[in-house]
Amino acid sequence: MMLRLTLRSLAAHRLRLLLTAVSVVLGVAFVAGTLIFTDTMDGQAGDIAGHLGRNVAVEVRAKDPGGRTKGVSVPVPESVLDGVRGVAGVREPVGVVTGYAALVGKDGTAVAAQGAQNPGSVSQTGGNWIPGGDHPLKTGRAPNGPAEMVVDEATAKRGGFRTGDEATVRFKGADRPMRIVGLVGSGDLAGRTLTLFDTPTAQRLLLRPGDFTAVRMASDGVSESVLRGRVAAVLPGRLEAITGTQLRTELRNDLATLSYVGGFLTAFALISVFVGAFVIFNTFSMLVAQRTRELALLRALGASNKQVSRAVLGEAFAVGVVGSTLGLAAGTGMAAFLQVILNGGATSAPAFSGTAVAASYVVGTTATVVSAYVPARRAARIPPIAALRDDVAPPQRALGRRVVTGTVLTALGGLAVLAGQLGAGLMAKALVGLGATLVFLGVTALSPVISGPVIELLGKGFPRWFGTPGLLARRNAQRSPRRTAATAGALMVGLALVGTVNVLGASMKASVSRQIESSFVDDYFVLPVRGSSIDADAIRRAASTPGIERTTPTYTGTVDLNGSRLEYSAGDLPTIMAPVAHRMAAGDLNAGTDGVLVESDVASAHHWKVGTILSARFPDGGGQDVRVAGIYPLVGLGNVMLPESLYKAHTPLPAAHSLSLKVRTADAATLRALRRSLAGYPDLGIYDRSGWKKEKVQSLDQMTTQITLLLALSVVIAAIGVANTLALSVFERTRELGLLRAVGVDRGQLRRMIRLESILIALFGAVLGLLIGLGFGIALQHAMAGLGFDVLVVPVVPLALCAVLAGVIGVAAAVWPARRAGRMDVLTAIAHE
Amino acid sequence: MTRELRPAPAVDASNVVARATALCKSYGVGEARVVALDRVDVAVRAGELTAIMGPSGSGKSTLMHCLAGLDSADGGEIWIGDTEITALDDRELTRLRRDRIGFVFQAFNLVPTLTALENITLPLDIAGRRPEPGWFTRVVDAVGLGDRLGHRPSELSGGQQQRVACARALVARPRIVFADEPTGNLDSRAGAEVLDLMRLGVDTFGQTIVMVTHDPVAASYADRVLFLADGRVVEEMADPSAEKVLERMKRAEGAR
Repeated sequence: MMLRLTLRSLAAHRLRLLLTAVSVVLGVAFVAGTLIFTDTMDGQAGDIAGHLGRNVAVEVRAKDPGGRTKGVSVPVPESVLDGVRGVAGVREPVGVVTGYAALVGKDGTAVAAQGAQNPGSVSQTGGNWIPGGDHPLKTGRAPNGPAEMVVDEATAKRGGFRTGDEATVRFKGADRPMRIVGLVGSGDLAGRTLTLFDTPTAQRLLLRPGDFTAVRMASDGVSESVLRGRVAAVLPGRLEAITGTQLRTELRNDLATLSYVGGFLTAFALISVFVGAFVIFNTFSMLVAQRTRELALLRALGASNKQVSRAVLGEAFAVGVVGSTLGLAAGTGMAAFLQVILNGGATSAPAFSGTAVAASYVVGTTATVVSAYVPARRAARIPPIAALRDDVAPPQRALGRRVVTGTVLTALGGLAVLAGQLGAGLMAKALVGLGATLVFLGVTALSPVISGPVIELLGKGFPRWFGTPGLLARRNAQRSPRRTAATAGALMVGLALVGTVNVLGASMKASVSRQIESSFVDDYFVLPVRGSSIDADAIRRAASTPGIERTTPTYTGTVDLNGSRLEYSAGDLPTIMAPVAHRMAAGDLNAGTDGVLVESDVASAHHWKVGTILSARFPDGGGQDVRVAGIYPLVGLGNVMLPESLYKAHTPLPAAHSLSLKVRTADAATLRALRRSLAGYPDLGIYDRSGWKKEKVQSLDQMTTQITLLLALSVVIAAIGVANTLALSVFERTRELGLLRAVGVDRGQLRRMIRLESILIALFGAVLGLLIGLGFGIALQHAMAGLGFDVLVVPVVPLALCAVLAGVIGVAAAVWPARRAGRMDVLTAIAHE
Repeated sequence: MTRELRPAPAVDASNVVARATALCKSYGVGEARVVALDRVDVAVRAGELTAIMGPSGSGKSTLMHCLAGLDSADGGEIWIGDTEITALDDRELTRLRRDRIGFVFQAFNLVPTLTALENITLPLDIAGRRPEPGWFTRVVDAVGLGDRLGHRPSELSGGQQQRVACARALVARPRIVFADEPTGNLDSRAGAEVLDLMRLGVDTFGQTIVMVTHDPVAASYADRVLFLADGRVVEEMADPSAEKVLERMKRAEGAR
């Protein structure tokens, strides 16, 4: 009987059902969208990693190739290949060559990779084609000889090439005509283009004859770790052996460039569940309040407490299941949208994992049923007599407990944030994070309590500016603090994050700009694309360009000093370090040939002083004693600075990670000449000071924009939540609206009243959110000041814009409810039960 | 179809505030068609309290709603002062209600978020007019709410709420006030207070009031009672007393 009633009730109130379902759909869509997106990205990375290097048991490579000049400065000589052949258990060892090679399209520019967002994040990779290796042929045959290659399918297609075509390939130093003799699959490239040659050709064009980037081998049954040990034993000191498992993990991590986004999204999914539950709870509370009479009538007719609450819960369950299903569908669409904004285009079909589907249903249904539980219990307590009276509202719990809980949580959170400021390191950051969460929960608990006064303040001018509708709007927004707070809460979450991200983004930008100002000593800067480096020939060409007065390369790498592995930069120290010369903590810049400069906190951590003699070991296996010549302050330059001569003495194939150029006269002619001399190096970018700053700042801007866009989605959900609340309020206040119309309020004034109420609710959420975000942003910037983010910038204009946008959202959210209210027939409204 | 045409009550035309001629209104179509008003002619005289009575379904509420511009008529004319309102659009009707008509409903008369005082000035505030200070004080004094003017409706008794509603109707000095069962939800004492206030409005302020009721006691406060049955005005009674009205009602009941 009660089931039939539940179903009837659902069918009879389609609008009500729709509004409730919308809130569930939105909440679930967010969770599902996030999970599906993460799964899809993970799947991509996982597929590739599972595929790449799948037969490799052990790889031999230069020690620590993780630096910016990856695997180039220290190659693996061919002799290693012969050496490991003698090791028991090694099967089919092959030399691998990788380097820069770009297929030149018919328009004369390098063919870009799929999903490429900016040139800096793409690698145009060349290599040697290995039978049975990572890239099996799809069509054609293996490359053979100096003028043949195979290309990946997608790149060939984008360039308009087919097997048998002649194409130009751009290597460092020169363009060469090559014939495409086959195609390999592209499914696993994730933003790379691939051109493969036979091994001697690859060595000659990409590396150096007789050298490999790495040597890989399979095992004939011996476990990876045992084999690794045996191989390591026969290697020269500058090389290391890693297991295939480690290699695959590294490849996977390399590919999972979106992992930071993944973590962020997961956190975000949790937040969206929270927000979704808010909206659902709110909606159900309102619905039950509206149905007081109906439920009381049931009670009067003899339905038990339990039956009434079961009816409400049953309704919630049905809505939850339907909403979850629709939410899952909407989430799929959202995942595609996420791919577009985060990945530069939908590159693969959405991956449905069981987790995503299960989570959607669990979240949607549980949140709905739990949200309905409190109102259901409230409904069951409605006295039967209420059915006969006109205006009963279910009793509202006092807000006293909220005040206590909220205040305690906020205070604890504030203390934790402050404590985080005093400490340092991971612990401090964790404290700030914990504090932030506590403050957030505290403010959420407090928001119904403060909504009254805050809205009073925000809407202070409303009666004067907008007349009676303004006054009524303000009073209506203050009418049900819980409802207002819960509705605004969704917006608050989104805008708090927007605030945090924008404060951090602006501060990082300012910090980076300042660093560039103080470290950019010359006129031009040459920088390779990711994964590439500047070889000696390119440095020579730049230096011999007419108009160039001085060329200063900077190299990077790692060195063991007294057993501690440290990242170093190397180059002409007096030039590179000129901006900090006057700020040296001790010693000076004249390191000679065996001196090194050490960063102050590294020096103090090891108790090194000027004059301390350290034992240095380099990746090439060589070692020598070095002397601490100077100690420099924290400026983001790295742990240690080496003189160029020391670097060159221990690096077989020097490759710079940047080039600083000083010119006689900075004019267009010099820049043109420079571009001409480096024309053979398509992987090198030439920047002037402002261009370089722009490059750096752009990537930060991009990150801020991406995250803000993501958060915009949550703001959209919140906006729909506002619309939902308003629509229900309008429904609830039908008679009152009818009365207003009867005494002479016209449609326009009624619509304005609802619009203004919406704006007030939205502004309330926005103001709270932005204030919290501002606080978090400042706290996080402080906590990270030691990492180089030492400039605090509060982006006033963007934040103010957010507040204005919140007002616009309010207007948008009110469109439909206002129209409904305006269209209401006066007489029916007055007679409305 | 022949029909006995009852002439409109003989009144001095210059003294008429609201007037309807041959007013028709029906609901539904076909079999389910219900005629609520069947060529009704009424005239409301200025400075009088006119009561409209009749059994349920007699069309008394429909008549009032049509006269007040809340409901549209199917045929006939309605005049409020010198304005014929059946042709007005929603905007003009709203303005008419705001500036020239006052309302007192049976219940839910007040906006819950506004104080008693704010409710009283609501129509004026909407129109952007200021209450005349002397007049305003007189009306508010007559309501007799004293220090409860700053309270919200939920803090007032039912009778107090209805008196506030009366004050709202009176303070804007409309041409005519329509009261729809204003005492329907009140006990007799609170009802009497509300009716006294309406009487005061007519006698002292010269306000014209039309009141729909089925309570003979309420009707006895009127200067004139119009009886409706089956969508037509069937009788008119001047200087009614509760007994006379009750007697009339019994007669009508018996005749059915």
